[in-house]
Amino acid sequence: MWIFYIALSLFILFTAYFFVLPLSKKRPVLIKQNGLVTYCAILAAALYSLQTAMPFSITIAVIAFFVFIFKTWFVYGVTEIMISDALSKAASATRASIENNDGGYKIDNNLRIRIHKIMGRISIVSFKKGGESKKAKLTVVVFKKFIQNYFV
Amino acid sequence: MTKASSSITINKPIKEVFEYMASPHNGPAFIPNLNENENIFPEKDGVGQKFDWRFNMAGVDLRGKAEVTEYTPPTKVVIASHGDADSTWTYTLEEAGAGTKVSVEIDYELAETALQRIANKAIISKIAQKTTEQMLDNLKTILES
Repeated sequence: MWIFYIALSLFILFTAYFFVLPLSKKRPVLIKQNGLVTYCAILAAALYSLQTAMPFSITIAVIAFFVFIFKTWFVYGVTEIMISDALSKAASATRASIENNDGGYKIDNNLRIRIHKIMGRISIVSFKKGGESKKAKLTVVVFKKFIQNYFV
Repeated sequence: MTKASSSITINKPIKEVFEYMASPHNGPAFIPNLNENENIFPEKDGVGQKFDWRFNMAGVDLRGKAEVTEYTPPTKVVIASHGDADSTWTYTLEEAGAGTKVSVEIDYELAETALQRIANKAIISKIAQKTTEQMLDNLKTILES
């Protein structure tokens, strides 16, 4: 049971950091890959110790695995269009080329980014790993700033 | 006042480097931890141009207002800012062969309220130095490739 209480305490702390802190400033929630994997792992650990919630725990662990494999951000509080706009502005600010094809974007002829609307103002941003140029990496940093500059 | 400085050579003409670097619109693209410059007025870059900034230092949001106090194309820009951190940013550019040598000097002093929110003053000094080095590296990446 002590695993449950430790996991629950960590879950509350991470929820405050990831959700309460930005939303209290009326800013969107943006959780990057490592944070998202950690958050899911903590939630899975907390639910795993509760026998009745074990199926949820396994589902969350599977989600964490996919987040780990495919570089992914979780975004809450802004629309898919606002995220696309932030990406275009970031590419423009860093003078990186941006192509819109196959329902996604290609930055600096190098890095593929897709924006998936889950529901309402919840979206997932996925990045195809490997071979990112320095400019593409910088564009991703600026992209994150521009998403977080919106007000919810 | 504490100081952080750095310089780099960018293989682009001085005019192009100056125009990009001197515009507050481009600040968040190459200055690490500068989240946004907003309410930029007037639109045209030059002495007297003012804007609001929001900077994140060690997880703490710092805010303030800035004003361009010196604008000498294509060699020098000085920006004075006040708020959670009082600072003066001096960009100096000089031709270096076909490229441009860019130097940045930041004189800064954190307001006590902001400093109280950040644990260790030594860490701030390291972050400021790292910021100047990283911003010039970013500038080189943006303008050269």
